[in-house]
Amino acid sequence: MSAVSVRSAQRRRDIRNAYLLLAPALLLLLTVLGYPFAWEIWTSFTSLSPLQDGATSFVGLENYRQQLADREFWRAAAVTVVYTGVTTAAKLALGLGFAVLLARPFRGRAVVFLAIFLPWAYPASVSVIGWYWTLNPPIATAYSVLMGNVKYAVDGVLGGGAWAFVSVTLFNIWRGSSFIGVLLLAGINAIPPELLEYARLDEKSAWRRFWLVTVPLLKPFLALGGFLSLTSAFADLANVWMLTAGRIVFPVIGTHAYWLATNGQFGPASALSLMLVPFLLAALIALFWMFDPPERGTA
Amino acid sequence: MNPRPWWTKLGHRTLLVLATVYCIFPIYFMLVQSLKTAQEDVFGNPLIVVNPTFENFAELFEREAEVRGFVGRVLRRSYPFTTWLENTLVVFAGSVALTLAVSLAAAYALGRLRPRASGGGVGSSSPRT
Repeated sequence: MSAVSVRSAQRRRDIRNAYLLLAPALLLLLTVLGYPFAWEIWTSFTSLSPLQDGATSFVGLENYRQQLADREFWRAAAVTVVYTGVTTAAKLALGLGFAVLLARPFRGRAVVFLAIFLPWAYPASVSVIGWYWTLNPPIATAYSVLMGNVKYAVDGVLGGGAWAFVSVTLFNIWRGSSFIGVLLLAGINAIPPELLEYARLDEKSAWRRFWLVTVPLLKPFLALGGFLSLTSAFADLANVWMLTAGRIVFPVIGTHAYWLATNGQFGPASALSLMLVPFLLAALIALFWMFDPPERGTA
Repeated sequence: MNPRPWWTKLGHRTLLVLATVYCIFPIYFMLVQSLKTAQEDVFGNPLIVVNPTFENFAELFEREAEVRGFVGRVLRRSYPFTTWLENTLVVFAGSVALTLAVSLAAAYALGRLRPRASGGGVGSSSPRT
């Protein structure tokens, strides 16, 4: 009997210590995530603005209604969907290509691995300058005439500012495909080699082996990579902002919300950013389903 | 295992080179521009540097550098680069220290002490892009 009570006393002490040790992390999350999020939810229901005189009033769902009736909102939403879709598809395809290229050992593999890892490891705020200079040379240099021609050709077909949007997309793909490539390479290395050997006996075509064995086994990794890509593109602000130096012709939801907020419309800006939350939650739930299909139960 | 035919090998090599160039190019491009004089930046070949110089890097450490060469000696610009470096280090050290301290404690609490030991582990963490 006494052994049991000693163990349960120990257990109670452990639990108390656990909560003590968790407290700083919870406090940090509450201050840097919880408080701003709660503030944003509250603001989205009010007319809070530094530009207006008089008291802030509660306006209910007015901010949401105003956004849904706004043509700018629908334009930003369409651009966001295109941006997210194109970048995620291209990142997964390129990343899968990188991973397959590097899957088998060969001479110089480490060098190529480092090269493919570089875009993600390099700070985005710095590599974005390289892309900005390459695609939109800001001053008169030897190649700005050439890039100017490309820019005007693209803008001529797709409308003003299209080239800037294309360059944001290219940058996002460049950086993200690097990360997804490394992630999927880890996934390919985690496939037991025997499985691939068995598959070799059954199926001659390497192409069919790839779709029948490698891709299904990579599914959790593809899901994780796709999810991270979706969320980062869907709520993107920084890439678009930096690569266009703030001259945004094709706004995504993130930049549109930022623009509203910097113009003093705190309520609509909060409402707009909160509208992203259900979509991100849906993507998260879909990810967990792909990781742990419900019929197998959660692990 | 039979040796792979030469065209497969060639294709593999070509794709590897293409992937490497694709991933490195923007950073290579920045490196090349950073080693150029203002004259070469305007009149030279964008892809290579003929007369590499470190003057752009040296300029960063001069508190009030003259804008060199092409633009003339009209403008004086100040680069508080050392201040930026200090700020970066403070932010870097502070965030790493805080994150490590807080998450180490939380990880120990969740992993070893298990306040709710009935179920399995806590959800897996995911890296961020």
